[in-house]
Amino acid sequence: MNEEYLWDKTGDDAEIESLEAQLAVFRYEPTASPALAENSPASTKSYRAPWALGFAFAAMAVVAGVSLWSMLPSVDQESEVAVADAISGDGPAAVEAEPPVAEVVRPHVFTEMPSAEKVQPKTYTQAKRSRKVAETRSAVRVKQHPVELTPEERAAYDQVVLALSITSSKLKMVQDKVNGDRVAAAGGRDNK
Amino acid sequence: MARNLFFFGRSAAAPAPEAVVSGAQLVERARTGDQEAFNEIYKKFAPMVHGILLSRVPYDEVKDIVQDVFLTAYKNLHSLRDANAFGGWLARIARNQAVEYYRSSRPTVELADDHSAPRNAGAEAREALSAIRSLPEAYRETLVLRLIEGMTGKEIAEKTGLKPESVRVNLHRGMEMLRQRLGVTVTRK
Repeated sequence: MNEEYLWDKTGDDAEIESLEAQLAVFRYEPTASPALAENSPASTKSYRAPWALGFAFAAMAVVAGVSLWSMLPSVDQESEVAVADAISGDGPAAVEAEPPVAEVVRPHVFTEMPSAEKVQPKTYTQAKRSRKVAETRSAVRVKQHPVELTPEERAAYDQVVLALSITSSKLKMVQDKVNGDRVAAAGGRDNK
Repeated sequence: MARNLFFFGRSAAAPAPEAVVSGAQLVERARTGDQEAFNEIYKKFAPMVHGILLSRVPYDEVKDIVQDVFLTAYKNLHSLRDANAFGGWLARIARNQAVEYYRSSRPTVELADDHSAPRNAGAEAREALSAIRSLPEAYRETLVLRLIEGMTGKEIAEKTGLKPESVRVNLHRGMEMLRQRLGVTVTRK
């Protein structure tokens, strides 16, 4: 057996040449390559991208909502009574005398359903009073609840801010990726 | 030079740097959906994939599986980290597809060689192919690429990502075993 012929076909070897001739019928016959148009991985990505973005936004909204809800303090009954008294003139207007404290404005979130009595007041006076209470409530709340947070609240607040920043950065990455793929796809088409 | 233009292997016989860049560029272009680049890759590597499959699955099935291998490779091109290792990566996909063929196919009665060979294949050719297929995996794959697909040892090493020394050993030992088996067959007749 000629080793060199077996390795790089230099020289000759009758036995191997005979085998090659016999086996030539099994040799690869050139065929067309498969079309890529229907099998583009880019199309798969573009199909998934909107779902990924939507899911990310929904997750971020849920996390933010739950976190804010858990952070907000419950309505202080005493302060509510004080506000109502201040509006009606039945009691001291102690609210206005307090020093300004609120730097952080929190969104107003209802923690309980309004009762039927509040929704449908029976008299005009009651309706007017309810409206005044509602208008004043948010402003007073900010002043009534200073930014002094308990350690647990502070920790929860920090976690929410961190979660929001991480979510925001991930969304930015997803958006950049989607934009980059579109640019690359456009570039590929231009190259053709 | 033209042969080295599409070098993708990682063997010791390193090609010229510009040749490696050209091969990697083809892969990069194919990644963006460039049909022309993909056609070039197919043209150069289809014989290797055909040979790897022919050493494992029936002849009638090889053509379809070759197409599947290239489509699978294209869909997963993003997972290929080193474009210069494309040849070895593609060979591995082909071997996996052959395994998948036997895993997914229903249990059937194996046909005689007459049914899994081209019509113009003589009895000696079918006998020789059967003898090659009966060899250990490493030997039969290398021998099919050398004797049927007509590649040199160096080309086999370049395209499959194997070391040239390994290919040389596989060719030598495989050929010796093949001669023994064919000799035994002839003696029995």
